Amino acid sequence: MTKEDDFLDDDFLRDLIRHTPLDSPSDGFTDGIMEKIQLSPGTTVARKPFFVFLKASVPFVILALVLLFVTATSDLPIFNWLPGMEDFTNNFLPDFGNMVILLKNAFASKFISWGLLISFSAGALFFLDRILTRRSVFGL
Amino acid sequence: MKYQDDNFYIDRVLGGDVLAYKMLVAKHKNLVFSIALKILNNREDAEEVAQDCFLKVFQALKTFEKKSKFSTWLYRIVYNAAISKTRKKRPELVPMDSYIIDNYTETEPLKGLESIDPEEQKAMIERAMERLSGDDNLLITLFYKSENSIEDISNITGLTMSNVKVRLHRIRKRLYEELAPMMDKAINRLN
Repeated sequence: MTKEDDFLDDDFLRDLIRHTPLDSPSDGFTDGIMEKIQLSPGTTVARKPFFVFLKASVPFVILALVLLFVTATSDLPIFNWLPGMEDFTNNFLPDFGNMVILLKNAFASKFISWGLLISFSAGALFFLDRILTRRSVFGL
Repeated sequence: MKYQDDNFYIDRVLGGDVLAYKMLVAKHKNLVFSIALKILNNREDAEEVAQDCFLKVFQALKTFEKKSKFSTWLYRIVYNAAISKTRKKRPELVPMDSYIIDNYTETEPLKGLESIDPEEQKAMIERAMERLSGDDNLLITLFYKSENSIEDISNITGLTMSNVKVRLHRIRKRLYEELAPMMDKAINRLN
C-alpha cells in the first residue's frame, strides 16, 4: 500500500462522516418528478428498441438454422422420422429451383423491379437511421 | 427503507412499469441533490438541476447498457449538469507525485475521542465539513458517505484516479486539522 492510499483505511473518519445526514430536497421532490414523467407528452415509457432484441437473437437464429440443416441432411437412423438427404435433394431442391424461376420471371417486369428496389432502399434507410440515432441524451 | 438493486427497478421501468422509477428516485434523491447543492450552493437551483436530471435519465434509461453502475452514470450526469449551470471550471488537476512528496505527513490519531458524546462528534464533523470548499465536500461525500470507489469518483468527476486520491488525501488532512482543536476544546470542557 502506498502512502497516499492510507486514507482508505481511515475508519474513524469514515464512521464519523457516514453518520452525518445528507442534504435532502423538498418533500414534494419525488412526486414532482413522477408527475412530470406521467404528464409530459414527450415522455414515453422507455422500452428497449426492437433492433436490440433482433441483434441479440441473431446467434440463436444461426445456431437453430445450422442444427436444422445438420439434422435434416443427416442419414442417421435416429433421425429417420425427419426428412433425409434424399428428400432434400429430390423434393426441396427442385421446389427451391422452381421458386427461383418464379422470382426471376417476376423481376422481368420493370414495375415490380422498381417497386422492390424502392421498398428495399426505404427499409434499409429506416433501419440505418434507427441504428445511428441510438445515442444517449448525455453522450455517455 | 430497504431498497433493491438498481437494475431491478431499471428492468421494471424498461418493461413498462413507470412507477418503479419512483423507487429509483427515492433511493438516489438525497445524494443527487447533495451533489448539485455542493456545486451550486443554492437549494432552489440544486433542486431544479436534480429534477431535470432525473427526468432526462428516465428518458434515456433505455440507452443505459449496465456496463457501469447506474449510480455512477446518474451522479456523473448531475455533476456535469451542475457544473454547466455554474459555468464553473472543472477542479484543477493537482500533480500527485510532487504533492505527496512535498506535503505528506503522518496524521496523528485524535486522542480522548471516546470521552466525547457521539452527537457532539457528529456536530464537529459537520462543522469541519462546512469549512471545506464545495468540490472538496463533494469528493469526501462521494467517497466516505456514499462509498463510491476511487474509480467511480474518477468517472463521475472526470478527474484522474491519481488526482482523486491526492485530493482525498489532502481533504482528510484538512479535516483532521479542523477537528483537532474542536476536540481539544471539548475534552478540556469535560475535564
